[in-house]
Amino acid sequence: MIKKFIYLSHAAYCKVQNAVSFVKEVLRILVDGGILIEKEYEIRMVLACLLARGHALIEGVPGVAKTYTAKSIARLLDLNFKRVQMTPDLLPTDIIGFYIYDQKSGEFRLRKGPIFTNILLVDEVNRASPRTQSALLEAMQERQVTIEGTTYMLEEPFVVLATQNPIEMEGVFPLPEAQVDRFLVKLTTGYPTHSGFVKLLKSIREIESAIESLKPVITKKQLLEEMERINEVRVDDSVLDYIASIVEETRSHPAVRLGGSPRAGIAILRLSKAWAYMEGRDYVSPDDVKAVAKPALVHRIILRPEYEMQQVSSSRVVEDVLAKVKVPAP
Amino acid sequence: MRCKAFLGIVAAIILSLITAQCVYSQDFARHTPNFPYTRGPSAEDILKNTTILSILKELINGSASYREAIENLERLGAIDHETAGRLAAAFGATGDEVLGRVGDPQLNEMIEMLKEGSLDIEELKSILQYADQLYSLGIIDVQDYTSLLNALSDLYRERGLVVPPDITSRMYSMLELLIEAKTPLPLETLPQSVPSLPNIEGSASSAPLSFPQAPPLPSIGTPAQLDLSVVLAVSMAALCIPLALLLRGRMTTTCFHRMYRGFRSVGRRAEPVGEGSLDPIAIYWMAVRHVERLSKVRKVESATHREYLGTVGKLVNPSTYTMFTRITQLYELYRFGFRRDSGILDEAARVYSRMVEGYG
Repeated sequence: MIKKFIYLSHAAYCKVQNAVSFVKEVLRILVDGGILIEKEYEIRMVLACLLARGHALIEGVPGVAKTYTAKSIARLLDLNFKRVQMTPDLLPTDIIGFYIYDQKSGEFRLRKGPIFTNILLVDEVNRASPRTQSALLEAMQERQVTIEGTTYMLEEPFVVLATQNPIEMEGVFPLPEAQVDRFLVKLTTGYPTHSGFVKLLKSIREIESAIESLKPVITKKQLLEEMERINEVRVDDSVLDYIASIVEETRSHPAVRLGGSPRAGIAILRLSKAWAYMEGRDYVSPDDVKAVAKPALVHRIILRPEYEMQQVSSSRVVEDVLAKVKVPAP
Repeated sequence: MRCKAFLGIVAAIILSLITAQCVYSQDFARHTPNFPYTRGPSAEDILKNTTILSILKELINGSASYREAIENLERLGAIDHETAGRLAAAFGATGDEVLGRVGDPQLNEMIEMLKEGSLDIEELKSILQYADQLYSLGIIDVQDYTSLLNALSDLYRERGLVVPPDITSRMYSMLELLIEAKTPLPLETLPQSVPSLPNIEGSASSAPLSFPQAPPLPSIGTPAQLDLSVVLAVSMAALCIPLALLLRGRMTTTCFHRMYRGFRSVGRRAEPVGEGSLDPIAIYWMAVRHVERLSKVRKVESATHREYLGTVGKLVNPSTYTMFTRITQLYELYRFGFRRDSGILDEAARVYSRMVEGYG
């Protein structure tokens, strides 16, 4: 048996172990506890997104536990959670809030919209009108909203989990490329396997009550501290070069009309740091980059129509890019 | 004495002739383009063109068969008529032609059953498994195997059905094989996951890595292609025989002694290193070369250290794998983790020495 050494200062070791312990605890309760079946990857990615101060676009058909995922994570992390169902007639004020006249006091009083929360689940984001989408996405970017000329900062942490249905063709307003780019990651979630489905059916009553009785594993304050520590994760220059090469390669790929922007590279970097931190490391390795590159890039790549017609997907292009770009050597 | 020298010269001439024949059969590139009397490129050579390969892959991914894909390539002007003919002849045989060539009654029967039925996916899987066995045992060659896949995909296309991924993924693999693993395989062909390094920092509480699905690695060893340096080495060795016979004495002995020492020094590259003599990066790469030799799997440039570790995991013995895992961990700490601890250096050297000595 080879003896293992700890080559990390005690302070640094304690810091990264905090992140590991809370992520492990979340996974233990939700995955091992059978509350969210076969959703480990989604949970990890949402947590990474949260730690990296980003927002996630979740694509999946109705009924694949998107809401449960968001709700249970919110409960375990001691965060406020709200849900908005987007419809074509929804107005920006329905999301950000508005002033209402109070007859008793004779003054206008602010009624805050659901955006004033920590985790906002926006169901079927592509059903809202472009005006409402813009208002939401602006708030996501700026982390503040302006109502009647007054600017209100949104409480940290603030993460939007927007969902969209991949097969909906009518009555939708697809998000423009510039707005999709604002999402740090795009996750595609699907149906469980047969055995997972049976397991779900067996324990559906327990799952519903378990979600309601979830207790926080970390306080909001501790979570914010964890988010601050992501900035301390170090990245070697060769890894930065690797990230840049991946993004540049997406631009020169024959199937791609529009490749990744510098924002895509920044997204990969932020997510890689969060991913490394969640794995208990204070440095980023090329494996972290590879692990997060796909969800960070798929929604930022626009394919040539002839390739789209041949059923080539962005995710396959990213896989191809990752298989081409050389990892840092030696 | 003279008789021996004569025999030696004759041997040298024979070896030179064999070498020349090898050079010709390998069809080395000539310096002058369109040099007269050179042979045209083989189907494998054409497929080494990655542009053509990528177009071919995309076409196959759509609805085209090999044959149709080749016709499309010709129509697009990517390849000329002669090349198209060569490619089609190599890989585009019809189902009956392939079955005739293979001559395996069981395969014939299985395909007939598939044709008569509704192209059941389970039946197809059993055919493919059987064909895989035939191919792995060397009963059918790469061209027949590829043509068989093509013929099976035609069956589905003729009935207006989507070609199952079991077929297309194998077609991809064959293309990859033909270009000697220069382009990595698509994800669906080799589903692998990145291995979790057992806690780099030495704590048992760290979460293991569980990436979604890492891009796969080609697990094909370096093909044995006759190199010019090999040709020269053989020629030189051939010349040494008569020289040794003619000048048998002290000078020759010294010459051979030097050569022997030279070969020994090459062999020493994989010998244990002294602790602290190299950094963990150099040690890691030496360990990679060692593992490459043992596993016959090259580390491709797009594969990370963890991915390579996962690829060779089941191909080397457990003790070597354990030690290579540790060297990989130390490399990662040193290379990406900003750790310049002397303990890392010493441990890497120690573990590497144990690994090449075959302990564990």
